[in-house]
Amino acid sequence: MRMACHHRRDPSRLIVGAVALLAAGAAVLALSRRGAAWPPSVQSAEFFPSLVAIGLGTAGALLVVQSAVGLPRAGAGDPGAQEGAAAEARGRGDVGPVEAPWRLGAVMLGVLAFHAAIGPFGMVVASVLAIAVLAPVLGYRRWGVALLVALITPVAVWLMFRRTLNVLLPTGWLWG
Amino acid sequence: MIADLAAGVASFFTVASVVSATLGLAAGIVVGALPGLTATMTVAVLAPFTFFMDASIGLPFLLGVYKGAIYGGSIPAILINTPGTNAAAATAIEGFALARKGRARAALEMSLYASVAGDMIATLVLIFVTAPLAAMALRFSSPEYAILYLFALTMIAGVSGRSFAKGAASALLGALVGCVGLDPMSGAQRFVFGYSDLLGGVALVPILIGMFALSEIFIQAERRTVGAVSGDVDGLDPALGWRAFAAQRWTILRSSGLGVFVGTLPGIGSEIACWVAYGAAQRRSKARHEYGRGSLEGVAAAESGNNASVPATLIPMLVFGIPGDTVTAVLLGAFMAQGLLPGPLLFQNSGDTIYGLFGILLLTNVLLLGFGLIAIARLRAIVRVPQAILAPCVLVLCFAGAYSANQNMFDVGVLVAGGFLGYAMRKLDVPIPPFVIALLLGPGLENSLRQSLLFSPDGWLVFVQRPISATLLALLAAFLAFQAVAALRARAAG
Repeated sequence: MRMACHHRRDPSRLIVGAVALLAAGAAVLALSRRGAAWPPSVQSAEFFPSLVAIGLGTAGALLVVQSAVGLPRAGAGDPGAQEGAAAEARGRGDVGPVEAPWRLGAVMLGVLAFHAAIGPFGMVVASVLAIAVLAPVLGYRRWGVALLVALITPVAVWLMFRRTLNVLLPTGWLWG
Repeated sequence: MIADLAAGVASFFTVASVVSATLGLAAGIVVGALPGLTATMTVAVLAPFTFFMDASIGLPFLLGVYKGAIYGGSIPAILINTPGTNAAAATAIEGFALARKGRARAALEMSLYASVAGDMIATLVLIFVTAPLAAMALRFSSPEYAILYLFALTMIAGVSGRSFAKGAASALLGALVGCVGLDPMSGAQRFVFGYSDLLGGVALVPILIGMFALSEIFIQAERRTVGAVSGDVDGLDPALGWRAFAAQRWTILRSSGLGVFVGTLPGIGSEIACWVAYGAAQRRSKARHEYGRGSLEGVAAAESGNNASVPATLIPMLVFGIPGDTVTAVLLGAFMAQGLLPGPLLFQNSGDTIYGLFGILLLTNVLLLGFGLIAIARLRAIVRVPQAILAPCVLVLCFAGAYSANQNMFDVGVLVAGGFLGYAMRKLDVPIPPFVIALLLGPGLENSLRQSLLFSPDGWLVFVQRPISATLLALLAAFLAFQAVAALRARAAG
């Protein structure tokens, strides 16, 4: 294996570092707008969040520096073999490229639409629509089965929550 | 101890509690065996059902689900190489290789027996160790707790990902989210931004369901083919046999010991235990060449190690309120929803319940043996359920579960946000466990830290003046130094 490959920059460090810095900055801003003294005293509500924000900023800065100096991908020469293997297995599959961006986008939109539909249509109708739309999007091709599952599952879930747990799931304002 | 256990069992074991534990076990095995549903997901999705039950019914159900789901995960791991849990990843390597050689049944049975054996050993350790440890923990006060929480969070940030800095960022972000709501001391609002729903903090169960279950649906959606099944699922192959199992008794015993040890460490759970046990067995093995090509010994080591860590993770959870891994984190959330606040006082306040629950753990372990054999014979086809139809149904359950916790739509929004956040973290290789555990431990850390400092005449020195917290601090420093040296060595080697 070529040496250069080990020193390939890891863009995720830069992104995570930047997000951590931004989050820390936003937290400090939100805390400082309340006009408390700096550094906050132990009694004040800002004390602990400020400590956490400082820590988060430090971790973010560390990640940005690591990405700038081109730290090798951790795990490459890990001394703890099991931990390396465990981390390897854990990361496998998630970090790879998005193979079907359109489908991912459609499912994400579907989830947001499902959330928005519960208010007006109620849990049952929104769930029927969600299953009926998302199953084919995910590549399910047996339409009859999909329709049947879409009709039965939401009613079963509704009854389960209503009868055994006494929870009334949203019924939808559209139906009055 | 035995008398306590007997008293707990006598007061806690009713027809209803035993039936609900059995039902939970069966549900856990079935749901855990579905491809793409991890044990954490299973517990998270089924946990809301217990919120409205009496503790004597809800908690046995949940423990049954927990145990069933962890075992159920090994079924798709072996049959179709889709580990239901990260803890089953080592099992998948050996088990799937065995399945391809037509020895799926032997692998499944070895996994079952090793799981039950490891679990039994660890449950006994749990029963005998927890109460004395809790008695010792009564001597802990705020400074010790503050350092212990910090220690647990640092450990989990250090071992659960490939980069310590990312793990730390994840934990700190979780702690920051944990600050949302009212300040426990002054009652002032923090990060509420005018939303009254946030006054009580970010609801735990919805964000957990989002980060584990919804993010998994996104991950499945981005794949070229959603959940393609490969491998022999229905083959009729020879059983394991007593002799083959007995040949692994020392491996199982050693791996169980390692599993218990790893599980007891605060913040480290079954995911690490399975690799530690598997790696140790491989190093000692006389048949090392079989590893990776279908080793029954490897299955025995991985499964007994990861299952032994399961009851062991309950030790830091019950004694200190520190969850060992993500499943325990979800379990802790459910315990708190039932009004059982884990910690050393738990044994004084709810001793009967806890010993009753220990009895339930022993009972479900025996039942698991029978249910597992039925599952191996009858449930193998369940891994064929296409994920494309399963995922939308899981989504519906997630939404219903998130809503039911507090019966408001805001929590469903928290679930969706958790799903997107979890997905982003997984794509950026940021480990989720530190976030979740910091979210849970953050309030405890804040309280103990501020109390220590308020009552200390010497400020921050209080943490080195007390022997227990000073020892923990020294351990923490050693752990950080080890991490730094490892990173520098990796850089030098790279």
